[in-house]
Amino acid sequence: MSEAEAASPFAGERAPASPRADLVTAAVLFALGVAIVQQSLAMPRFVEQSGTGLTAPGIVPGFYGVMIAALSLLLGLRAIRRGGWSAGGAARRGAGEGRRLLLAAALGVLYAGVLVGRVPFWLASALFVFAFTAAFEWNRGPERRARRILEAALIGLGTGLAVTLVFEKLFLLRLP
Amino acid sequence: MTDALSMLAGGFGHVFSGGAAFHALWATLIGIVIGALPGLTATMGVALLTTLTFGLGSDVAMLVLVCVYVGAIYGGSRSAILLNIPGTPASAASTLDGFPLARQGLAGRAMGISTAGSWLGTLFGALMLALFAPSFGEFALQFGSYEMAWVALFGIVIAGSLSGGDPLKGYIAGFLGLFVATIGQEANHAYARFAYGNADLAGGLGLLPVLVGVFGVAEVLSAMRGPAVRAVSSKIDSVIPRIRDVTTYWRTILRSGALGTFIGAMPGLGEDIAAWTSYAAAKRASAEREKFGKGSIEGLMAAETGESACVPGAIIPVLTLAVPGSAPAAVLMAAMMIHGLNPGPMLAITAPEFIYQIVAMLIVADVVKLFYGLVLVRPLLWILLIPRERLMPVVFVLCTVGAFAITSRLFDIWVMLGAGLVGFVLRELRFPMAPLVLGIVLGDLLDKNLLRGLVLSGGDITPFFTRPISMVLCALTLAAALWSVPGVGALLRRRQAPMPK
Amino acid sequence: MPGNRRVTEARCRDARGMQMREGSKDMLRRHILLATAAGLAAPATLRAQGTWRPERPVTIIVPWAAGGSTDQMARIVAAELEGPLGQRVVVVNQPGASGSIGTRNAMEAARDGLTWAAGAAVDVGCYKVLGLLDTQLSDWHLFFAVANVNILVANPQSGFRDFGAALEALKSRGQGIGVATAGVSSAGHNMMEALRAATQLQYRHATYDGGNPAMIATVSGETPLGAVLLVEAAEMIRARRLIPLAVQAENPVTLAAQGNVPAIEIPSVRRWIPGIPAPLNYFGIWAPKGVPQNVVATMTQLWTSTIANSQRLKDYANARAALFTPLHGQQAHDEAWKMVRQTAWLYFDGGKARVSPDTLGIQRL
Repeated sequence: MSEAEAASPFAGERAPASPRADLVTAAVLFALGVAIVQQSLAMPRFVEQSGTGLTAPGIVPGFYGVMIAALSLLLGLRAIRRGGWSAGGAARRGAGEGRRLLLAAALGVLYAGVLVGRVPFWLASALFVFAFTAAFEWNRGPERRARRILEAALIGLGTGLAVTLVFEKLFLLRLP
Repeated sequence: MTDALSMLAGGFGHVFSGGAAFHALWATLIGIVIGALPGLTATMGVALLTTLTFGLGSDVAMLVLVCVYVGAIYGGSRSAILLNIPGTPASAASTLDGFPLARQGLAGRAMGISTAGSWLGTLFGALMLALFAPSFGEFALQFGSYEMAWVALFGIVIAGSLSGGDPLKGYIAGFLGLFVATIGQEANHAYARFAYGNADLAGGLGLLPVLVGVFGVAEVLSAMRGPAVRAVSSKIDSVIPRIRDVTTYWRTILRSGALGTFIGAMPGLGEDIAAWTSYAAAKRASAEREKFGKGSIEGLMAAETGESACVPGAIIPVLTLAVPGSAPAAVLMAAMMIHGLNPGPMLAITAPEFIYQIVAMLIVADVVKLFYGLVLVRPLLWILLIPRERLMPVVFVLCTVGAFAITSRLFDIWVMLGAGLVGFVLRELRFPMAPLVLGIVLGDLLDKNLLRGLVLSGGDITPFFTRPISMVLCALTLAAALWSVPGVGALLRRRQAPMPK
Repeated sequence: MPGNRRVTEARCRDARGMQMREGSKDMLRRHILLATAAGLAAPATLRAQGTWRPERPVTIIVPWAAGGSTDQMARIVAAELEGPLGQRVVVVNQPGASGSIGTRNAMEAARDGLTWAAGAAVDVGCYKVLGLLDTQLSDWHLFFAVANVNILVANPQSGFRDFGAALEALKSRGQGIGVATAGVSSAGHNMMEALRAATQLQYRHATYDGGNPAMIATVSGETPLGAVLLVEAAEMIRARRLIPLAVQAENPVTLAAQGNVPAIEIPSVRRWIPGIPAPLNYFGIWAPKGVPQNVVATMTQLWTSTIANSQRLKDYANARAALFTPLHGQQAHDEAWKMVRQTAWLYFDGGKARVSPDTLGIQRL
């Protein structure tokens, strides 16, 4: 994942993942496949009920597990042929990118995973939108920062109230 | 034929006698809004309006429900094109080419293509419904468990071709999707697979929360990851659909229309599979195959025409057999029953005019959809001008509501979040998301029909090969598998290339 | 339509006949007394505690997919309740895990009367036996709308002209005869298990994603037989695409005439297997006990006034061959209890029960 590809405008045209990343992915997926097979074998077979054992719940997921394991083995072999062992690890991406990503993910998890369901929905949404916008616009420099934060607060409040009103009054949902 | 035409004229007369224009206008708009919001599906829209229109009388209620259905399937593509987030599962295929077009500054044209394709698709399907409803319905009956298992297998084989360059990762993503579909209670013994005593997991992971996660949440994350001030494409291009786009791809439109209608008429297959199939077929037949996934007009046209033609298609078996062809059609059928309209094989005898009233409603809804398609383009394009720091958190809130909306469970929000994070990582590792979603859709189908087929035959696999339609589907699946062999060949060549010889 | 009305009356007589034979005369007298008492007491209670006026939309959770028979019933009930309650009544579908997920959510929701569950009462009564959910029928305030009967239907090409022929075939070579049902522990599956318990027949169980797909599988000939709810098969029976073999009811059931299709009388399974249990399968809505008393009082009053006189529910039940049974309270519980007793022990005998029904106070029927 080089710097050049970040500039590419199309997700579909980004450079392929590095062989090292593929190798690690293949290992994880192989373990997943094996685990699925093991869990499928451990499922009850219901031989007496069905008479044939053909309806055992483990057959289909077991097959998928085998396929995932086999395909990830192929992926791993391909990665090794392409130099997965020798490459000096995945190219490091810009520090700013990682920080922004982490911030977005953390805010998202905090909102959808923690706040929603504990705090009234409109408040949770308003806080989330405000925090998100304010945090990502913080680095634009100190000039007009107060104005941007005020705008973020207004957008947050507006989103929270509008979403709650539309969904509760128009679509008759009971929001968490 | 003339009989059908006069019946259709009667149908239009009936529809317009009840203040149709007014109801069609608001209902289609609600449908488009519901469709465009990630998470709110056509099924939910039709179910919601069933209750709301209960007191309006059966004629108005049916018109409203048909308009919402048609509008929602179309509306889902707005967010697919503009935000890379399919508004309904049906629009997942539209992201493949719609979003790249928008990123090239052609969002207006992409929506024009979508409008034209969708309009022609529903029109095509409605005409099929008017002309061939009874025979189509009877043919759908020929598709039993054996045939459906093949349909699912066929879908899995073509999943690799939706992977954009790396079939191996496409297949892995597809099997991951198939695996996700096995979580929860299975059909034969009600055994909860991979649930570990968790009651929510026993119910399985819903397609919708996963879809909103891998497209919505993952999209928000990757949008925010980029450099801070990257101007979102702000060029507003032509908003009027181009006649040339239609005339150039008339073959694609006809093929997608026929495929969409046909798949709609199959019970258990819905708009999503119609869109995927039309897309894959267009890619196979196209002279410019390499453009698919990078902003192909033909690809977007195929997906849009297919999903929209599926709507009338799904209503065909409702009217002729009381068998819904898709999930929204199931709710529409329930609404008909609640209103005492008794769809089913007796309808052709007891109330043949009703079939043509439904055709007229579909055409009215389709024309209203075209109207909105033309006037809404410019306001929708403004979305692209909003800075992502302000747009993305709102999108995230809408995703959360959408995941929650279908069943009102917090569990679904967590599924969305988890699927979003895993999906984001997989996307970063260049695993395509389309086969994953297709795997979840087809997994249920394959699992149930394969095992049921084996139960019915007592463990004998010959019916899978000897029943006439099974034979055809088997041949198709094998052909599709062989077709992808050059891909496998290329893969092997790549693997061997670095080896010194 | 005069023909239609005649059949309706005949069917009402049937329904009454069924009830009378099920309970003793004593029971019937108690019903009347209870009903009268409720009728007299209701206004007083309402005055004392104030009518329930929900300030937010009321939710009915349907623990099955949209479009099914529970969903249809719930939507009609919702629409009928909206006017007198003065508030929106919203139907939410939460399918999964044999209906236990949606029911659990209704159970865990705030006990303010704003969340109800819909479904078949027998399912609620058996969740604990199956180990799916820790609840019993007596934990709920029950309000029933319709009762459905199970039916065994045959494909016209299958060669089964009546129930007797099918029964003989199932007894002699049942392992090879497919029977389509809506899934494990669906009404149709329970009917087949009851038949098996009574006659030692065998069958090849093919599960589908609901009653409608199961019915269609029988129409298309994928399975020669199908065990579904009569509501699901009614149209295909009228169109002669399915042969109605027998209903699991104490008396024959008549499918009302429609258009130029005359009324069709479907024999009771008891003609061939006398004494086989044939309790009615009640469908309705319920709220967990612990909701405020005025909620229950208001709903009870609405049930005796609005629902009991709902023309829409009556028409719906009549057209789809269901019985219109606006029961509530203890009477509803006692009526549904019969099917719970029968079904819980079927699960136990079939090896599907996690706990013996005995330990839950469910006696064998």
